[in-house]
Amino acid sequence: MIVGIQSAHGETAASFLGDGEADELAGAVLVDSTSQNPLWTARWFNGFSLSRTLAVNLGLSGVTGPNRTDRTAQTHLGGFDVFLKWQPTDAYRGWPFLSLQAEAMIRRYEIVDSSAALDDWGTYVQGLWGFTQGWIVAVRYGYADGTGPSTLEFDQRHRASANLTYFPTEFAKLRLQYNFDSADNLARQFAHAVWLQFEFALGSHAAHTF
Amino acid sequence: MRQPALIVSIALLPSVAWASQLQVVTTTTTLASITRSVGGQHVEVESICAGDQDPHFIHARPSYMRVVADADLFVRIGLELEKAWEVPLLRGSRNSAAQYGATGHLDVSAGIAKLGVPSGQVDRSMGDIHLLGNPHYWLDPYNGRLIARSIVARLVKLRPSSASDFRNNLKMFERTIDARMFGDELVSRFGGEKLWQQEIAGDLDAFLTGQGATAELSGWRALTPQLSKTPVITFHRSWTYLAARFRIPVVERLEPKPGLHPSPSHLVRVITAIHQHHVRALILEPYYDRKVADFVAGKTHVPVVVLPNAPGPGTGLDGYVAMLDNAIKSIVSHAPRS
Repeated sequence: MIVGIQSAHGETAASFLGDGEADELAGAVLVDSTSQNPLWTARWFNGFSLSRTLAVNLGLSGVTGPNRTDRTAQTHLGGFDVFLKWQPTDAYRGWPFLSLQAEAMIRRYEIVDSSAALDDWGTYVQGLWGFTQGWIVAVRYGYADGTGPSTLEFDQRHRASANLTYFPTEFAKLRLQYNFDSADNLARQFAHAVWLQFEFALGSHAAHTF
Repeated sequence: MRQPALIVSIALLPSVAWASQLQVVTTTTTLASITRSVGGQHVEVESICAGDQDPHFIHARPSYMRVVADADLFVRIGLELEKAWEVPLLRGSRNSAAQYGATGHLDVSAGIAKLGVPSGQVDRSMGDIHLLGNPHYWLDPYNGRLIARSIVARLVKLRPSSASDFRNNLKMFERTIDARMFGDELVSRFGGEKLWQQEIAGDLDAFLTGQGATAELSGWRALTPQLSKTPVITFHRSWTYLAARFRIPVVERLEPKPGLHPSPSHLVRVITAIHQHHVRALILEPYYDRKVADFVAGKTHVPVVVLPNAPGPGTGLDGYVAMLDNAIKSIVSHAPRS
């Protein structure tokens, strides 16, 4: 269990008193608040071995703090995450494995005096199958939606992805990914995307001192 | 009327017994087995790694952190064997007693004569080498004795009131190892210490000849002449210490460099070496890639021998001594018939 108190300012606190460039939200003028009220964060995280080959991690998170629409307005964030991994005891250098991961988040962004609020939420679930050494095939589905004042444009967004990743060494990976997006704000309500990604790392190996 | 008091007394018994035991967490089942042998009834031992798991590639699960959180003593092999996962495991445990440098943290590699310590310039092109030396030293029974002594010294520090029990258990453990190594008769005549001194100095055969005791030699050490005529290929450099103790010729490894998967060109070299040296067996642990070994075996008709290098669940071996016995006897069973 981790409980934290931190500044509500700064670019990483976009839902709070962050340094965003927007100056208006749902008719409310966003001000550079001088509020010193902090962000309160809490996270509970635990893991369980279900068997010698199966483990699960569970987490709950929450953040609350002031936002820029008014001195009294607050933003609340809540999240849940789960990670399940199967790996045989005789796995060779980390392969094979099967993992399932999901997260869900919900946000309530009070506008001015909490008489109106922006509510949005989202979730994703993904599965990875490391089928042979150095190779992983993965699928993922994500969803986001929200409701709020009519001046805000909200639409349902869906994304389904599939990718294939190859690790030629422990320091590099090559990934081919396909995304299918569906959202009202897209010109034809859907879009296709293909990504080719190459990533490499320099420096010492995580398991060694050089 | 006395029944409730009796029930309360019975209910308290297990918790009292549990509270009196030192909670020991070891990284491997080898260390767990030795700790149980010398700690006896005074310790409750749990191993992070199972016997059929690769100790290089363990994930620091949160459930493992919880186990370490309650530990009075954390025991590890060291020499960077557990490097990838011990740091997050210890940090996540929030157990100050088990952290580096604490009395509850024991690296049993101190005092071991290391093999395979790299010299000169070292870089990643050499594979997953260990800067401090080959960490698979527990596969030499002499090092098993040293490990047991290190553990006992630390247990005595943590629980001085049980020191005599720990030391007696150590004597019994060493006697078991010595009898398996040299045979009961020889140990009874000369004592294990004397025999090990001669063995370490390389003078055992001459000593026994001088004492007219050659015929009394039995146990694993008596198998050395056969083992020295049993050339083998290993997958990884994990059998180096066992091979050095029993003079087993390891003519090549399936890994071209430590931690690297065999390449086709390297397998050609391995197959050539097998023919040149009349290799008798391909040895690999349960977690290595059996397909590669089977491929080479198919080309050379050399048998594949799967040998656990640690005891415990998944291996069918109930302790450190049984694991060594299984390894030595499995290899010698492939010795040429003279």
